[in-house]
Amino acid sequence: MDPKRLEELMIRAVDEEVSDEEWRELQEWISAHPELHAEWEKWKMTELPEEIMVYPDKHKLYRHHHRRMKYLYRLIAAAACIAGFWLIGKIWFAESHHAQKPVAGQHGISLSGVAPVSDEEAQSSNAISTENISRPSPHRPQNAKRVIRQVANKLIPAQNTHAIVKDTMDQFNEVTVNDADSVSSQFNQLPSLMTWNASPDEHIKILHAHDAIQLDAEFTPNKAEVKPVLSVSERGSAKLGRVIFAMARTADHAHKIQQSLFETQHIHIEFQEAKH
Amino acid sequence: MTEKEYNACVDLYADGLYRFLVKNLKQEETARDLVQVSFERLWQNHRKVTFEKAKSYLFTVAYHAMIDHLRVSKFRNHVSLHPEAFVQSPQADWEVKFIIEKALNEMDQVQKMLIMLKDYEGYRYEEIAEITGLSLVQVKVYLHRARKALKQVLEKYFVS
Repeated sequence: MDPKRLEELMIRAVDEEVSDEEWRELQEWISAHPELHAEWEKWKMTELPEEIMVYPDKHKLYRHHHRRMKYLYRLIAAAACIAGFWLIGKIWFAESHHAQKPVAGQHGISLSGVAPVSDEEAQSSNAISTENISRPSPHRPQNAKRVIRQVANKLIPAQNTHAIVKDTMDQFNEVTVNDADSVSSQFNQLPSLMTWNASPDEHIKILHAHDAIQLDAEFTPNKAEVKPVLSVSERGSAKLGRVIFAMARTADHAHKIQQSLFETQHIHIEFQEAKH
Repeated sequence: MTEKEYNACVDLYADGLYRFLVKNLKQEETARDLVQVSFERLWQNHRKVTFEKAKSYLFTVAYHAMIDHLRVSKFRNHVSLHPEAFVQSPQADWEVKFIIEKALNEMDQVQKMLIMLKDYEGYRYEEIAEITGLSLVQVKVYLHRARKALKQVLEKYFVS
């Protein structure tokens, strides 16, 4: 065999690029020429020895598109659930509120109380009537009489007490009461009022289910420094959406009450002219 | 190629690609970067590249990235052979490995790459030509020269 061809054949044999026929030819030729054994071994040694290397950052190469998408889908689903609950809550609240919103002249408690304290005030003495935005309740106040009596006694002078209680929800006609006891008895019959409770001197609580409105009653004996007799915490009023009963000695004070305490759109306060 | 197939490619070819690059560049950091670049490119084109062609694709990208890198850095690793290290005959595999390693470092860069593609990855001449962009004849010639160079070094060291 031509030495050049032999070399070429041996190199291709190391490269495993010879045909079966060429491989047989080479094997026969080497067998026939033992001096070529060493040469063949040298060529075989030129094959790079196996060397294993491990790429250390393989984890950085993997792709987990589906896993990421699954996570994303879960995130979207969770967000959708939260949004759904929020929306349902909002709709429920809106409908509930809408259902409770009184139709003019139908649902509402109107209380007009006039307590003419002086000539100056007699002119502008007012009572505040708030619209009732609560659902009618079958409950009857248990301790209403006692509480109202206390409040009425405290806030409304016994003399010349004149109040008009009107509950359109129960088709109550206008009722005029002349003293504190009568006022409390009328309140006692208002079905839309749940429970009246008051601490002895300064506070009234309107309890509605588990919610409560804190009414801070402030009574000033000094007629020259008349202040709003009742104030209602904004939190309570907004949360409860219940009848707010407030009385003021003057229209100005009534406005102050409204401005400072009844700034929610759910509560509407009407000012009525004092009746003497 | 699906994502699963791509991840299978990582399992199958990342180590080989890394070896190919490390042995050529002698820079582990650069080799890691180029492996990442190669797989990044594969993922970008995973819709076009089939699983069967993925290995060639990876080595093609890595090969050209390495050539570019070498051109930029004008990297040339010269490791001189020391005659005093001569041995009479190979005593162990590690000796052969050591000598071949040194011989490889003295070799022309293209020859070195081709012989690695041939011996480590088992590519055929045609495939190497496809990966490197060389002609089939060029591949054969380069590999022939590479084998001869290796044999000469081995003969020099292992005088039989």
